[in-house]
Amino acid sequence: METIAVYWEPIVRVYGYDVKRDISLIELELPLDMLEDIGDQADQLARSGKGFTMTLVQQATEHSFRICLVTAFQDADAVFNLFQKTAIENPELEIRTPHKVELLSFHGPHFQDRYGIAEATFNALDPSDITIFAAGCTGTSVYLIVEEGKAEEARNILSASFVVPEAKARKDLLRH
Amino acid sequence: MDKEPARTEERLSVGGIKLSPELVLFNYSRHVHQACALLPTLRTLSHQQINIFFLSLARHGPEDTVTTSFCVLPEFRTSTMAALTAMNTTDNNITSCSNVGVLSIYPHRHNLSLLGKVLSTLAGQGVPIHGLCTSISALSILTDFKEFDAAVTALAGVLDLPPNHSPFRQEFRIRQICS
Repeated sequence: METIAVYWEPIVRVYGYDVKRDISLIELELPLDMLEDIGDQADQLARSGKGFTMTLVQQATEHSFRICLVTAFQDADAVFNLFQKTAIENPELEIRTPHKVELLSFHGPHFQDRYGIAEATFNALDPSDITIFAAGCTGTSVYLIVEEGKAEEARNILSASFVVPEAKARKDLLRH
Repeated sequence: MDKEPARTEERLSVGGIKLSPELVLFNYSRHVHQACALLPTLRTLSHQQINIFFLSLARHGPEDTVTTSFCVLPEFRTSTMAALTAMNTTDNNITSCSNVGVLSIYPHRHNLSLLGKVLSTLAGQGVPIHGLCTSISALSILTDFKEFDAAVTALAGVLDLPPNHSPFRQEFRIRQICS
């Protein structure tokens, strides 16, 4: 049994921000009946030491899916090449050339149970010219995949709405 | 990248599975140059203290389309749809799907094997996948709420769960009426 408390604070406190660079976004669109094969290929990639930074899947149509897979930049070609081989044999699978992106992520207490987190995030970034290629708000986390060179700017903008409590900020400062 | 978790008879070791309450899924798509109903909708939901349990956003396609998928509790289906359609733009694509739920597996350890096995197992067993997204530690799958048991049974064949593990389901929630 778990107790969930819903609360609101004028400036949301977070545990910290994380910026990842040297990552690439790979996008696929595939029919429903290829999902199992793509899953098998992801397993194959893992056995050769590849992992993911972030991933999301959306249903594009009733019979097709869209997959956004963010990997380390040095792994992107290997990941792309494996899926591209499949795409050559299966024209219904579309894959786009990987492009370099950056990730800004942050997480806070009970994000999954609190209203207003997504609104604060996207509302803060809307006036900027930062392109968001992909985003996920699940569990206690907010993940934003932005164009290369923009994660720091995004963090600066969001820091007005999502604050790291001072003691932690000081520790982070000393660590970096 | 994190070290690959231990495999037991080709099953991947994970910490646990958590199941959400029943939810309603909304999919909203628009071209980037069209008026956006997402922000006003998020503002309305926030103003009405409506929590979003799951949200994913992707920008895609040669026409630069942005698709947002998000979930709220069923009692907020009508007000959420009203917020999305309030701008009365006919070019936007809005669909909704009731009776869904989020099944979260943790920790994912950034493991492509976990992602791969989850997709191939659920797809292979005919368990619907409406969406998926990863967070700092969890891999969350949107499926039909009534398929939770089937999904857990299917995944038990590829995941090594702790002894005596039972997927965690929330049994009640406390909600503050006013701030």
